Amino acid sequence: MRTWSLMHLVALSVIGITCGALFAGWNLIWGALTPLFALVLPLQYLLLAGTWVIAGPLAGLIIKRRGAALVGELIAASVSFLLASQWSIDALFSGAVQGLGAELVFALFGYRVWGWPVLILAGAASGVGMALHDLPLYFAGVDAGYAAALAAAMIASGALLGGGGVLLLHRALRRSGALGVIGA
Amino acid sequence: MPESQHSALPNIEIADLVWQPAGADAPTLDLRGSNIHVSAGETLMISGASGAGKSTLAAAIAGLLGTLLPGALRGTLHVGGVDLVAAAAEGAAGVPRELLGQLGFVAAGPAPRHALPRLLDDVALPLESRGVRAEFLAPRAQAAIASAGLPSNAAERDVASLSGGERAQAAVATALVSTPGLVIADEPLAGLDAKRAGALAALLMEQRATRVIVTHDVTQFGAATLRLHLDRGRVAEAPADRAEPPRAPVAQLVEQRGPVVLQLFAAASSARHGVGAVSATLHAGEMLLVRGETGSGKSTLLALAAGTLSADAGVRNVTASRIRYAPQDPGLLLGARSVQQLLLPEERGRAAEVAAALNVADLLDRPAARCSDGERRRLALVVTAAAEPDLLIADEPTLGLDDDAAARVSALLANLAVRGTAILVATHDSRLQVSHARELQHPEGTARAELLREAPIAERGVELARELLTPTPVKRLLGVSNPLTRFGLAAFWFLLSLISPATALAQGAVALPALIVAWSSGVQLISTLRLAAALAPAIFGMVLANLLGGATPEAAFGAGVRLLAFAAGSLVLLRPFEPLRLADAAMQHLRAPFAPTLTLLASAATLPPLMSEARERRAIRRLAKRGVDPLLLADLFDAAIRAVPHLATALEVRAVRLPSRLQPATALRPSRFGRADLLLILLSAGGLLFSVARVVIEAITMGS
Repeated sequence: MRTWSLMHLVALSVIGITCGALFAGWNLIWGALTPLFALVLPLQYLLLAGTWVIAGPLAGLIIKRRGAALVGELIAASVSFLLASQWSIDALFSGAVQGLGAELVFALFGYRVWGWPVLILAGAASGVGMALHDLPLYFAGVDAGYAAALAAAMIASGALLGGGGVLLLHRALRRSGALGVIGA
Repeated sequence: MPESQHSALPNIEIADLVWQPAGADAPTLDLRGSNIHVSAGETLMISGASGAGKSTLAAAIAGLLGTLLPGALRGTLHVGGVDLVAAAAEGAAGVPRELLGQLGFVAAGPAPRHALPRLLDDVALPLESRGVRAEFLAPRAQAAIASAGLPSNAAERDVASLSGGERAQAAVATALVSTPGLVIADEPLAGLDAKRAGALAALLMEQRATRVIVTHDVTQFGAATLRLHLDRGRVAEAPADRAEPPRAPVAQLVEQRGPVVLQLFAAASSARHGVGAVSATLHAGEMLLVRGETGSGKSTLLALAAGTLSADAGVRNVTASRIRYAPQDPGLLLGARSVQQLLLPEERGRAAEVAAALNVADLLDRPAARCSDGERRRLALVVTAAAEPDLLIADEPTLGLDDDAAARVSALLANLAVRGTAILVATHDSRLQVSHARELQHPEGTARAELLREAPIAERGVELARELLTPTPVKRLLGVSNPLTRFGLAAFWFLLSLISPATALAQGAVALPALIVAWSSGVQLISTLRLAAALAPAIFGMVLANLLGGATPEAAFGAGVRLLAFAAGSLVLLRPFEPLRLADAAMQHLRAPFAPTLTLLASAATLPPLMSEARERRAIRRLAKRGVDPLLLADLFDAAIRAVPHLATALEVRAVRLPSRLQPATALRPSRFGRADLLLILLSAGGLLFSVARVVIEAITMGS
C-alpha cells in the first residue's frame, strides 16, 4: 500500500476542514429551509442532503489511500460540529457512517479504480449510510412508505452530489493545476 | 536528539542534479555537467532571475524534493553524508531523519510559511519537536524572536496579523531557534527595509552553520565563499557586481497635475490593529511611491485607497471610475486561472502589449497557479494595467524580481503615468525610482500610534449583552475548564438524550439541565444565537414532517425536542473552543500522536485566514467588475489545496515527524484540570438527578 507523507496528511485535513466549513454553512441553510420543505421533506433531501457526503468521496478521490474517505468525512463532520451544528455530537456519527459507505466502495475496488461509476457508487453508499443513521433516530414513528421515500431521496442525492458533484469539482481542480502541486 | 553545536557541521555535494516535478513535462532544474562542493561551515549563495530554479535547488538541498514534494530527482546530492537522491528514489515519506534534526529552513514568501497561528507557539515548535525541556521552550523562543529584530510584544500576536516584513523576520527566528547546523534561507530579506535587512543578514551570517542562501541581491550578505548563478534551471555566468543598484531607464514624467482622483483623510480601519490613520492625495498622471519601515502600515494604506478594506474612520474620496489593485500576494487577484480568463475581450490587445513589455507574453495562457512567484507578480500587473485604469495601485510590484524585470516594471509604471493613470505604489525597493515621482515616507511615529475611537452605541449594547450572557465572574473565579471535560460532558448529555425515550417530556428533562451546564461553562453569544436561528425552523420542520409521515403527535414532538437536547449538549463544548487547547489536551491526556494532531491543528488554523482571504479576493475581483463567479466553490478548494505544500513544508521543517508522541516534560502549554472542570461535572451530576427524578415522578403520577 502507498505510504502516507506529511503532504497527504495535510491535504486530507485541509480538504476535510474546508468541507466542514461548507457543512457548517449548509447546516444553517438546511435549518432555515426545513419549514418550507416540510410538506415534501423527501424533496429537500433529494436536492440538498448530498452536499453533506462530499468530503468522503472527494478526499478518497484526491488522496487515493486507505482510510482517506472515512477520515476526511469524519474531520469535516467534527468541524461542522465544533462550529455549532444543530445535530451536536450526532454530526460525528453521521460523518462516520457516511464516510464508511464511501470507504467500503473504494475498498471493494482495491483503491485502484477511480472512474465515474465508482464515484457515483461511493456517493450512493454514503447516502445509504445517511439513511441507516437518520431514519431510526429522527423518523422513528413514520409509515414505511414515507421512510422508503426518504431513504431513496438520500441515496439518490448522495449519488448526484456526493458522486457527480465531486467529479465536477475534481475536474475543475485538476484543470487549474492545484492537484499537480500535491502530486495527486 | 542531540543539539547540533556538539556535532560536526554538514557538507554538501552536488553533481549532475536534475529535478522534474510531478506533472511537469520538462525538468525545472538541470545541473548536468556542474559539480558543486560546499565544505562544512561554508556559505553557498544562489542568485538568478525569477523562475531560474533558485528555490528548487534550495528545497533539494533541504531534502524536500522527491520525499515531501512529489517528482523525480536524479544525479548526485549528498548533504552531511545523507544520500538524498537515494532517499527520494526509495520513496522516503519526508526529509531523512539524520538531516531533519539539524535543518533550519526559511521558505520563500509571501506565501504563508508558519505552522501555528501564534508567533510564540510557532517559533517554539521546532524545539518541542526536538524534545527540549518545557522550562527552556518559552525563553529560547523569546530570545530568537528578539534577535530577529521583532518587538517584544510580537510573541503573543498572530503571525497572520504581522506585516510582510515582520513575517520575514519571524521565519528567520523559527529557522534559527533550534541552532541548526544547516541553514537554508530562500529570499530571507524580501520585504524588509534596508536597516532591518542588514541586521537580519548579519544574524544569518554569524550562525555557526553550513549555509545556503537564495537571494536576488548578493551584495546584502557581504563576502560569500561560494556563489552560484542560475538561469532557467541551469548554472550560468554571474553578472559582474554592481556598486550601486541600477536606475530604471524610464520615460521622464512630465510635471503635471491632473484633477484629484483620490483623497484619503485620516482614514483608518479597525480591522488592522496598530496602524494609525493615514492621509494622502493623488492626482491624475501622478505617481506616488510610499516608502517606510517594515510593519508601518503601507499595505493597509493601499487597501484603504483601493477600497478593498473599508475605512470606518476618516474620509475616502474617489473620483477615479476605474481602479485596479495588484495586492502583495498576486494570488489574491489571479486565483487559479490563467490571465486570459481574467481579461475582458476588449482588454486582450493591451494585455499582450504589457505582457511583452514585462517579458511574460508566453505565460498568458498558463494557469497562474503553475507560474513562479516572480512571474505571477508581473502577471498581476498585466491584468491591472490592461484595463487602462484611472488609478492603479500596486503593493511591492518588484518584490523578488531580478534587476532586469524590476527595470521593466519601473518603465511600465512610468509609461502608464504619462498616459494619465494615477499610480500608487508601496515599496521597499531602492531600484524602483522614477524621476518626478512623488515619494511619501510613511512616518513611524504616527503610523504606529494606537487608534483611539469611541465605540458606537450599538457596539456597546452588544458588549453589554455579551457580558450578561457570558458569566465572566464565574469564569474568573474558577478559571477556564479543560476542553476534554467539556467534550466528555457533551458526549454524556448526547448519550443520555439518545437512550431516553423519544417523548417531549423525557427529552425536555435532558435538555433543561444540559442548557444550565452549558451556561455555566460560559456559552458564546454569537454561536448561541446562530444555533438558535438554525434550530427554531429545523425543529418546527422536523415535527411537521414527522406528523405528515404518519407519526403520532407524541413521537413527532419527541423527535423535535430530542434535537433541542442534542443542541444543548453541543453548547457545553462550544464556548471556549480553541483548537490549540483541544489539541494540547488530546496529546497530553489521550496520547494522541504528535504529527497528525499538529497537522490537523495547523490545517484548522488556516480556516479563518482562508475565509478572510476569500472575502479579500472577492473585494479585489469586484474592482474588476467580474460579477458572480460560478467557480467560487472550486476557487475555495483550489486556494485550500494550493496552501497544502506550504503548510506541509512548514510542518516538515519544524521536524514534527521526529517524536511520535509528545513527552509531558516538553509541552509548551500544559493542559490541566481545575476547579472549573469539577464544577461542570457536579452540575451535570445534579442535572442527571433532576432528569431521573422528573421521569420517575411522571411515572408515579401516571400510575396513580
